[in-house]
Order: sequence, then structure tokens, then C-alpha cells
Amino acid sequence: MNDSMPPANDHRVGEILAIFAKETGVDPAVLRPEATIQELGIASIDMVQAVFALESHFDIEIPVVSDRAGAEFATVGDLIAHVLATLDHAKPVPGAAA
Amino acid sequence: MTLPARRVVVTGSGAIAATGQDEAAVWAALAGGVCGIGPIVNIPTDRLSTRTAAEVTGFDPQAHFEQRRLAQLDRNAQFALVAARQAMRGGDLAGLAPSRGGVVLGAAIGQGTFETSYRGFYAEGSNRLPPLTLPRGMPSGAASLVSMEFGLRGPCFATASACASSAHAIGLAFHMIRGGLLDLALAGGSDASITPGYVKSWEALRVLSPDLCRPFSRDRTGLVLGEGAAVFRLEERQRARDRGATIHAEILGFGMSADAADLTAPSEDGATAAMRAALDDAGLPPGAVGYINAHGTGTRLNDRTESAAIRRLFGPRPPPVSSVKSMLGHCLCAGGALEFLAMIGALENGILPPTVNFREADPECELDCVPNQARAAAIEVAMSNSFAFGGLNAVLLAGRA
Repeated sequence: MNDSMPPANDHRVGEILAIFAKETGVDPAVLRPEATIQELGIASIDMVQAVFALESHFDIEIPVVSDRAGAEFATVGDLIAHVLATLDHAKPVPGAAA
Repeated sequence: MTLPARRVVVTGSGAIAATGQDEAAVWAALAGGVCGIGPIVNIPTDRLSTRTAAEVTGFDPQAHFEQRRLAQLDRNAQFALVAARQAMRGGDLAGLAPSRGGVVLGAAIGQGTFETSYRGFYAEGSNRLPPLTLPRGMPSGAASLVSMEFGLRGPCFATASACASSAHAIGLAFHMIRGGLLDLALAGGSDASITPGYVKSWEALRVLSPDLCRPFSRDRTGLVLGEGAAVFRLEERQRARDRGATIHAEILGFGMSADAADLTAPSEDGATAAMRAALDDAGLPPGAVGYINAHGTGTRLNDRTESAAIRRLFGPRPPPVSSVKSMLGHCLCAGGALEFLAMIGALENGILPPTVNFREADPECELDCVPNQARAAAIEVAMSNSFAFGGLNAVLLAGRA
């Protein structure tokens, strides 16, 4: 996912990083886009929690990257790009309260 | 070549139940005849008929776990970890190859986890379930978490045999150590199933008491649900001796049987067979047993059937038999383990815990059930019975250290 570098001026990136840092317990200062999930030592269980929190916060359904299910995001930038792409094509979660 | 016989001892205990939050407190309450059954306070009861349970109250998860980690832990796993930490106090894993340490716990489903998640999905219109629903709720989760906590890398699994689950867990761990597969095991069980849907499921079976659990009493009215955990550190005896460990009791035998008869009704034949198998496993005659910790649920049928099985095997003068479910409630996947605690407490302290709430002898339960008051009795060998739904029977025998 080399096209995954997020635009630096997108205000949503800060929101994504804040939620991601809170859910994973990682210092926000080290959450650079090129940092890998592996080197940050983030457990897969924390990744799914973080994705769940992002879905709740933005009221979206973040689709599974099926061909990489279980290890969807190699870097922080991957995750940010995927969330931003989802937001750009956002549709309300079926059944979600208005 | 004959291998030297390996013996298995209990070198650590941990427990949490309605009457105490460590093994010393739980034992003291058992010896004191303290009934832990009371009005249900942890869950809404507006749609329940049941009003009583033996709940753990005043348990503060944050006193034991970091907030972030709690998202991973069903209440039953919290109980299991708390009990396992107690059992490992003073435990020395030095010199133990990680593959020689194992974990076997009763397979308790994370009822609270599944119920909360599914309520969101079915009743509240949420289309996304919390992502840890599955790992939190899976019945082997507590065993995994205990293995992770102590770095034990040998056999680790959970046993499912309804209310005998943790007795099977202790028995299998005992056999694995005795058979040479392990040198140390954490074994027992936990359960935290007092949730509205689960209590409702029990109500449908029409076996819950409206108030108290009165095992073997003529006016008994059924069982009362409980929750908690007990976990034991079992070790090969020579290893325990070499490191100067305190030995609380020795496990002597384990017997299993299946009734192959009915999903809920107990069988005198199956119960007798399991008790006999435990004695055979230990190479002991019935007359060696000085105390029996009964399955003793407080239902009409269980207590009558268990009494008949005991009298069939032990003759007209069986040893004293008591049921601590009268105090701890029926703790399901933790029941066999908490009752094992009562049994080794009796051996170690020379005190038989009573059957409380007892009011009137039942001619169909002709036993000395140690009614209402604990009794001093120096015993050498004791038995603990677990006769579960589905006819799955597990019996443990232990001796004074």
C-alpha cells in the first residue's frame, strides 16, 4: 500500500490517531504513518478493538481487507488511508440509530 | 523396567466465592458454616422469578487488572486469574521447563459476554458486536489466560462436563502429572454465569429453589446458583519436597463414569461406578474414606440418588457426607473445584464443613450430613463427588499430607 500516505492537512487524521493511540495504548508521538504495527508491538486483539472504536466514532463500517484478513494493516499509514477511504465513501451503518 | 511411582500433591490454592475473595477466607467461611446465598443484587431481576443466588459481591476488577486489559476478560476469566495468582503465591517455577507446566480448567462459557453482545444485536439494533465477544466468551479463554500469565507451555485446555467440569479438570491434571506428562499444573475452574438469560434458562428446568439450598433436608426445594473460582497448584511430590514447598494434601485417586441414561436425571449406577473407580484408582477400600464432600445440589432427585449410591458402596454406616452447595450455591464449572477446596480444607484442618440450612432428616437421604455445624474430625482420606447433568460423573480422592 505505497499509495497510503495520508494528506497531512486532513483534520480527520488527528482524530483517527487519537482514537488509535487510546485503544492501543501506544504513545501518540510514535504513531508516524510509516511506523509498522509490528514494530509498535500492537497486538492483533488491540487492532480489532481500535478498528471497532473508529467505526463507532465515525459511525461507519470499515470493510475487511479480505485478502489480508487477520493482518490487514502493515503500517499506521495503511490504517489511516483505509479509514479515510471508507469515510469518503461513507454510507450509514445499516440499522444504526439516526 | 519399572518406573518409580509418581505422586501428586497440592502445594497452592486460590479461591473466590460468595463468602470470600481468597482461599483462606472461603475456607474460614466454610468451616464457620457461613451461607453465601442472598438476594440477587448484581443483575436486574424484574423478569426473573428467582430471587436468590450466591453472588460474589464487592469484587473490584480494577483492583486486579489494568483497565485496558479488562476489555479482554469475561468475569469468569477474572475470577480464574485471581484464583490462579493466589494458587501461585510462594510458587517457584525455577527449574521447571515451561513445557512441563500445564493448565486445565473447567470450560465456562462467558455467559455475560455473549449475553451482552447478543442483546445489542437482537434487542438494541446494533449491527456490530464488540470485537472481543468471541475471545472473551470462548470456554477455553480462562485456561489460555492463565497459561499466558505464568508462561506455562505444556498441555493447556478446558474440560466440558457441565457441573463436573472442574472436577474432571483437576482429575485430568492429576493423571497427567502422575503419568509423567507434566510436573506442575494449575487446575480447577471458574464460573460467572449469573446473568438474566442464564438464570432464566435454569428457571425453565424447574429446579431452582425460591430461597435457600437445603441439601439432604426433607423440605429441600432445589438448587441455588452460585459463582466463583478455585484453582490449585498441583505438583509432582518429589519436586515439591525438593523445593521445600508446603504440601496441603495429596491427590490419591480420580474416577469417572457416564450414566448413558438421561440428560438431566442422575443415576445411582453411574454415581456408584465413579466413586468405585476413584477408589480403584487409589487402590483403597471404601472403609478408608473418612469424609465425603457430596455433589449435594439440594434437588429432590440428586440428593436421593446420591444418598442411595453412597449407601450402596459404603454400606449402612457411610462416613459423614456434607454439601457445601448449601453455602456456596451451585457454582457450575467452578463447583467441583470449590468443593475440592472444601475437601482438602477438611483434611488439612481436621474440620468437616457442614450442610447448612438443614431442617429435617429425610428417610430417603439416610446420611450423616454434618447438619448446620462444622465438626472436628481427624480424617486421613476424603472424597469429593461431582455428578453432572448429562450423567457425567467425576470423583476425586485426596489424603492428608
